[in-house]
Order: sequence, then C-alpha cells, then structure tokens
Amino acid sequence: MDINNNDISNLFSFVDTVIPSIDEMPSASEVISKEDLVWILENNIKYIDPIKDFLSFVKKEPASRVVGGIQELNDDHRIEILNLMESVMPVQFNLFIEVIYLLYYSKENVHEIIGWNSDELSDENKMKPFDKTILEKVSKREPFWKQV
Amino acid sequence: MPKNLPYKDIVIVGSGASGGACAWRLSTSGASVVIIEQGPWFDKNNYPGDSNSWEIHSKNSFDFNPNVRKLEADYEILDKESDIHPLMYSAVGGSTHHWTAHTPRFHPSDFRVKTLDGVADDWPISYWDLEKYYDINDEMMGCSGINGDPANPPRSPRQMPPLPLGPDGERIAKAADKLGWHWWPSDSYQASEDYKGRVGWNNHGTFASKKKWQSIASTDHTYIKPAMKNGLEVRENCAVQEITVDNSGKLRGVVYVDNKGVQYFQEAGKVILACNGIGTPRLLLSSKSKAFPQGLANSSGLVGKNLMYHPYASVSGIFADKDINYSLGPLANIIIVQEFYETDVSRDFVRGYSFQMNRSHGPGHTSLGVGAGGKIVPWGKEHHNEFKRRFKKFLGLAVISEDLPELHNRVEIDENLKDKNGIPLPRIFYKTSKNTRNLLDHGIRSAEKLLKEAGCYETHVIPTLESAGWHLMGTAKMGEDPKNSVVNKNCETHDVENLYVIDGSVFTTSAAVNPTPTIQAVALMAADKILGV
Ligand SMILES: Cc1cc2nc3c(=O)[nH]c(=O)nc-3n(C[C@H](O)[C@H](O)[C@H](O)COP(=O)(O)OP(=O)(O)OC[C@H]3O[C@@H](n4cnc5c(N)ncnc54)[C@H](O)[C@@H]3O)c2cc1C
Repeated sequence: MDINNNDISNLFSFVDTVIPSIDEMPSASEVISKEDLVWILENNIKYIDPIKDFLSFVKKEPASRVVGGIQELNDDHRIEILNLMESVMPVQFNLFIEVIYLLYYSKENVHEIIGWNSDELSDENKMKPFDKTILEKVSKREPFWKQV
Repeated sequence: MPKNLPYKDIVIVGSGASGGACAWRLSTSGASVVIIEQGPWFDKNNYPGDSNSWEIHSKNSFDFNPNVRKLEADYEILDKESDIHPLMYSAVGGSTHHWTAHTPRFHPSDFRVKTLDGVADDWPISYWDLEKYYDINDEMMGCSGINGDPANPPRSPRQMPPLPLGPDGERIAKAADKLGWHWWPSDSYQASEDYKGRVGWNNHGTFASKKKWQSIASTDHTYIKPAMKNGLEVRENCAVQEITVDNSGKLRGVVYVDNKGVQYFQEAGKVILACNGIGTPRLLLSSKSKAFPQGLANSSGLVGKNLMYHPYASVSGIFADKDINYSLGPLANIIIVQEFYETDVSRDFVRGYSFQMNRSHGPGHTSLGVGAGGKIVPWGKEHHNEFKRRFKKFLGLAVISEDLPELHNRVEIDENLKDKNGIPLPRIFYKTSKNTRNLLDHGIRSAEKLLKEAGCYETHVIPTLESAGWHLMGTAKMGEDPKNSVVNKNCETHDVENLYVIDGSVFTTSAAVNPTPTIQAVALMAADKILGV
C-alpha cells in the first residue's frame, strides 16, 4: 500500500495528541495499535492518499526536521502541526481524524467505559413494546387528508 | 459478437425494490421471465452489524455511497455538479439491502399537484388506482404499523404491530401532542415479529444490530425467492449494456456481459427496466441506434430530465437528561409528522413536507459529528467532554421536502468515461430550487420548535443534507402525452412497444415521503397491465 513501517510509526506518534487520556478515558495509544492502523489502511483504500498527504505535510514542517525527527516531537509541536494542517488541508485532515476516531470507538474497552452495549440480550437494550395509549390525543383528530 | 441465447417472454433488468416486485407478479403467469442483475446475491449473515468494527465498515465497504464503497458491482456516479450525492446498492435485492424501510404511502393529493397547485403535472393514475397494489405490497414485504392515521386515507390492517417508539419517540410524540401537531407511528417494512421466514426484531439492541438489518425486508427474500419457485430465472453478476431494436425501431432484446467478460444477446418479447432513477436513464441514453439516435424512448427529450431526490434538512437536538439511551432501535422508522404536508397559500412555497424522526448513532459516528450538524467532536483536550455531552443524547428530525420536477436537474451520460462493462458513466446535474429552499427553511423552523417543546437545550441544523440522495425519481416521466412524457400510464414507453420502465424514474412528481412502497405499487400495477389483468 506504499506506506512503510516508519510512516506508520510517524502516524502513530500523533494519536495521543488527537485523543489524550483524561480521567477514566484512555488515550488512543492505550487502545489502538500500529497493527490496527495498518489494518484499516490496507482494507479501506479511501484513506491511503489522504494519509500520505498527511505524512508528507508533517515531514515538511521545520519542527519535524530537528534531531530525532517526527517521533521525537513534543506535544506543543504536534498540536501546532495539527492545527496548521486542519486549516490548510481540511479534507485530508478530517480523514486522518476519521481513521483514529473510528478505530478508537471500535474498541471494546472504550465501549465499556462509555456505555455502548450492542448485546441484544442485555436488559438495558430492551425496549418496551408499543403501547397504543400514547395515540389517545392524535387518534381523536378528524381525518385531514385532502380529498381529490 | 455476443452469444445468442434462446428467446424469453420477459427480461427484467435490475432486481431491486421494483424489479423484484414485478418479477414475482409476472412469475405467476406461466411466462418465461428472467432477471438480469449486475450485482451478486447478498448473504444477510454478512451484515457487519454485530462486529465492533461496524462503524468502520459503514464508512467504507458498507457506505451508502457507491463512489465511496467502490465494490465490484458498483459503477461510479459523476456527481460533482449535484447538490446531493446519489446513493444505491447493486445486488440481487438492489438498494433494499441498504434501506431503512420507512414506508409511508403517497397521499391522494400527491397525484394531482397541477390541479391543486398549478405546478408540475398530474399523474395519469390516482392513489385509488394504486391502493390495491399498496396492499399487496404491504402483505409481501410485511408492514409493521397501526391503522387510524388521520393524515392519510384508511388502509388495510397492518401485518405486524408498530415498532416500539422508545423513550425518545415518546418524547417527540408528547411534544407534538402539546403543540397540537399531527404525528403517527411510522409504517415500516422492518418486521416487529417473525414474518414469513424473516426474523422479527422488537428493537432490542442498538440500531447497528445485525438482527435489525435482517428484520428489514429486502426483495431478494420477499419477492425473488418466492418467484423463483414459480420458475423465475435470475442471472446475477450480469450487466446489461444495451437494449436493442431492429432498424424499424422494434424491440429485440438486451445485450449483457457477465463477470467473466462474456457477452450475450438475450432476445425477448418484452423488456422491463428496473435499474432505478439513475441506472434506467443511463441505459436508455446509452442505447442509441439508427432508429433512436438520441437514445431509446427519448423522442420527448425527457429521458434523464426532471431528476427529483427529496432534499432533506436535518435538525437535531441535544438533551440533558441523565439516564436516556437514545441509540436503541432503528435509526428512522419511528414517527412521521405530517402537519405541514399540503400547500398553504400563506407560505412562500407550494406543496409541503414530512418529518421523520431520527435517533442517536454509534460512538464512531457521534465522534464524527453525526447529530451535531456534521461538526466533528474536537480533537485534543476537549475531546472526551464534548463526546460525553453528545453521545446517546441527541435525537433528530429529518425534513423530507416535496421536490418538484425541473428540466435542468438531470442525468446525462459521459460517452468518454465508461465503467468496467463499457457502459457510459452517468453525470448528474442538480440544484436545489427556490421553492424547495423556502420549504426546507420552514421545515427547519418547525423542527426546532418541536425539539424545543420536547426539551432539548441545543439544536444543530444541516440546511441540505448532501448525503441524502437515497430517493431517485422522475427521469422517465409517466404521462398521457408522448411529447411531454416517456412512459404511458401502464409504464410502457411511448416510443417503443413492449419496452417498460417500472422504477422511480416514472414518477411524475415526488410527494414528500419515502417513495418505495409507491415504486413497488407502480411495478405491481405495471405487471398486471402486461398480463392484461
Ligand atoms: C441508505 C438508503 C436508505 C433508504 N431508505 C429508504 C426508506 O427508508 N424508505 C424508502 O421508501 N426508500 C428508502 N430508500 C430508497 C429505496 O432503497 C429505493 O427507492 C428503492 O430501492 C428503489 O428501487 P428500484 O427498484 O428503483 O432500484 P434499486 O433498488 O436501486 O435496484 C436497481 C437494481 O438495478 C441493478 N442495475 C442497474 N443497472 C443495471 C444494469 N445495467 N444491468 C443489470 N442490473 C442493473 C442494480 O444493480 C440494482 O440492483 C433508501 C435507499 C438508500 C440507499
């Protein structure tokens, strides 16, 4: 797919700036892995070009060229780069964000904390059957469809 | 040279909502009927609903937009010049694999807009001509709902009880009651109980649930499999490239190609097009011949013109209540509000709109701004707080506008850009009209009023939902006059005997509700006309 391990590591180094850890919520790197990034990019071609654009944008930023390169950037620099990219390349930036958000919110441990339970058999997922007493008022209304 | 195949009485191109219904009705006649479908059979066990990566699939391989999805059977739609992006699915069962199955009927007045409001044209058929076919279709597709809606004519008993409204639906219902506005539980082809081999789903679980998808009617199960028992033949993964006529303009059959690249000629007594409001004009315009140099059945010049979508506006409200879970149940088959359906001369638009209630989404979609006017939850330190404020806390109203036909809203073909089967790509031109804009703006104001009455503390508006091109209508208009329409009231083209169009292309006008029960009723009626019933 034309994106190598180093690219993936560069990309991965941004994920906690996008979703940091706060209170009980884990940061992105605590729940998603580099393998997840490879999986989503390999299986969904729409992300490849925007991610490549993202990486070349980051590489061109002067801060990325200092000792240690992209992976050694501090958080302030990362925030600065992301802010800049958001304003100059919004389409690519939003797809980069989409990759990270979708992966993060596909994780079971995140689901547990936020209360997303897709188990049909659990009690909290049962809905009361339709009860027609709720129609009391509206069903008394005279028919008002136009006769033609 | 294509391989010649033995004669068939009837060829139907496309197996979606309309093709499936028509094929079943015809299959009872003893005629030899074959469906040619460019997509494959679809296994309902493959819905990604229950997997944790559901939302990733729904933005990629299961995306509603074929230009994003790019599956083997999809063709690209050139839609840069369209305010709205067309959506469809190609498989045996067509777009009924992706639909929500919200199934209101048109009103009697929808067939008479010229007489009532002096706009567009009246249909050459009436609601009452279709009533019997609506009933047959409800029975075949299986309708959950309840009779007694004062906004619509009485109808036959629904097959299953309504889907539960949920705490969010009840909230909207009570708010509408307080305002003295109409509301009614939606008719839905989602089974609330087990129905004819289809699994029932009483909204236990989130809207993403695989069971929910399986409880929704798709025509591969409701119509095509029963029709196959009567002898219907289905050729999957076969794309029709051209409808052919002889030099005198008499229908001969269709040329199609299978997924191994082998080309066939299928001679047929009758050809029925059911490729949807974009696929059908695409095929007619691609089928040029000496007899029909501007494309088939196009002497009126109206093939591809008058594209109608039903532009949607979306208004959602965020609610503060602690213990609500607005993500249970289907996304949209909940409540319909038709207080503003008919023309009111005091307003700055003609015709009207419905509201369809929508509920919260999964966490991935919430983070990407669904329900908040498309505003993505911010990245960085604010992320978690804002996510929590929104997640499972919003419910929305979609304003479905009546879209009036306009010649400049159209489907053309690009002869230079073709799909893998050599069929020219469709190019769409669509601009939302002033009437529709005024109508949507009125709808937005009313929706905000209803949501506020229901107790929300913040609303988000998308004035025109670009991604709402799910209803494709008008591009091979039905009418009495061959100069001003493409098909007659039996759905047969004026120009070519034995060539029929039965999908949403034939709609003279669009009404302000989801179109599929009407598309299917028209398809069933056309089948009876073909059979001389
Ligand atoms: C996301 C989504 C949600 C929707 N929700 C609702 C709803 O709640 N209520 C409602 O009423 N409607 C809804 N709709 C619309 C509904 O799905 C369509 O109105 C309906 O399916 C149209 O039926 P059709 O037969 O005209 O076309 P389709 O169902 O689109 O079927 C057309 C078929 O023709 C095939 N085809 C096209 N060209 C060729 C060719 N050249 N050769 C061979 N085969 C070809 C296609 O592969 C396809 O299978 C929704 C649609 C979408 C996409």
